Amino acid sequence: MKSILKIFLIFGAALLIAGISWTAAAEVIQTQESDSWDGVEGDLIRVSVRNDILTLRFKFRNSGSDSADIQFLYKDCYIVDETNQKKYFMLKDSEGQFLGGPKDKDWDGGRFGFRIFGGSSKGCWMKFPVPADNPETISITIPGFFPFKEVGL
Amino acid sequence: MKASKTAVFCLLLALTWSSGLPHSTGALQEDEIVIPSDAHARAVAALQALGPDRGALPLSSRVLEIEGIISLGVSGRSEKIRSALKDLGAEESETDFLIELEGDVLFDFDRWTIREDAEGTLAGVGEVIRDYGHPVSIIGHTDSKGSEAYNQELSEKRAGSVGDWLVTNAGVDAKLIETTGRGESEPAAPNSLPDGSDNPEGRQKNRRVEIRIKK
Repeated sequence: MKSILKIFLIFGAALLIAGISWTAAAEVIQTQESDSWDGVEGDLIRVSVRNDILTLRFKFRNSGSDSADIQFLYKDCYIVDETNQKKYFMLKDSEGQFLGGPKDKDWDGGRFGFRIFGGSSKGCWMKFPVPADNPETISITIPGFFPFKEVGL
Repeated sequence: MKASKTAVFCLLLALTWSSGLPHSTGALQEDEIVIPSDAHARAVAALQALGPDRGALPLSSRVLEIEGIISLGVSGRSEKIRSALKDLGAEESETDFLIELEGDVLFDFDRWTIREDAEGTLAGVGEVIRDYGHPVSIIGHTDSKGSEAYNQELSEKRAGSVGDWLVTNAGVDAKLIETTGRGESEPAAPNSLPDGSDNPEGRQKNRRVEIRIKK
């Protein structure tokens, strides 16, 4: 009886450890629905700052059964410092390409244009300047999605 | 010894079991996010080029409007679209917006496949159509060189090519698009001069594709 109880306790503890590690891997900071593609949501999964450069990582998920052709130009993505009423576009390299990806075309500094099948997701990254006034939060605008609001830096 | 073996067994069992649990993102086939190794260095250079304000732009009333476009509803959305259409050189009437694209820009001579260097222009048009979500008529026109029947067919194929491109590459809903060809029947300029000689400039204006976006 004692040994059965012991096994249950060990199994429970192991499950808790596994659950914690799994939850950390799947952490989502904020999710916004798409207003353009049915069944598609955007997850902001990581916000990192280094040398005054803000790197954002997203995952666009298609929870529906039909595939969705997601397209936007990186030139239309921006962050807003609501406190100081300023906005910032993505950083652009010397060749005029926005520092973000992936891209299917180089038009206007780059386009995110990919078919996401039902039940699949596609990752995306973008680099912005950290706003000059160092606000505590920003909002993020990506065409086709509701704005990500009050994202902590 | 026995207890540690049991613990390892239970841990493996639990990990195996938990990996099969449904969750918000893990149940999907995920795509890795790969950032090129030189991206940060390029970002640092880009940031330095921006200067101390880091490229900040004042948040004007128009930007506020676009940012809050969804909460503003139809009128706000229409305003955004109207502005984007003006940027594309569209003419506005009571019933629709008209964008005219030169045939020589879209297609090679006597062809109906979209030229690669026209794709950027079409992408901009497609983005507006997709965002607006209203029905669109795409109408092909030709000049008067060649037979009427040939020009009619060419204009239909060209309108169809533009429609197909917008659906395939710009994500426009195919149900919104209707394509027709008018051949040489509706010239925008005379194909010949008053003395009967050829008018290449006029013919060039006639080779066109109209995109009419209903209001």
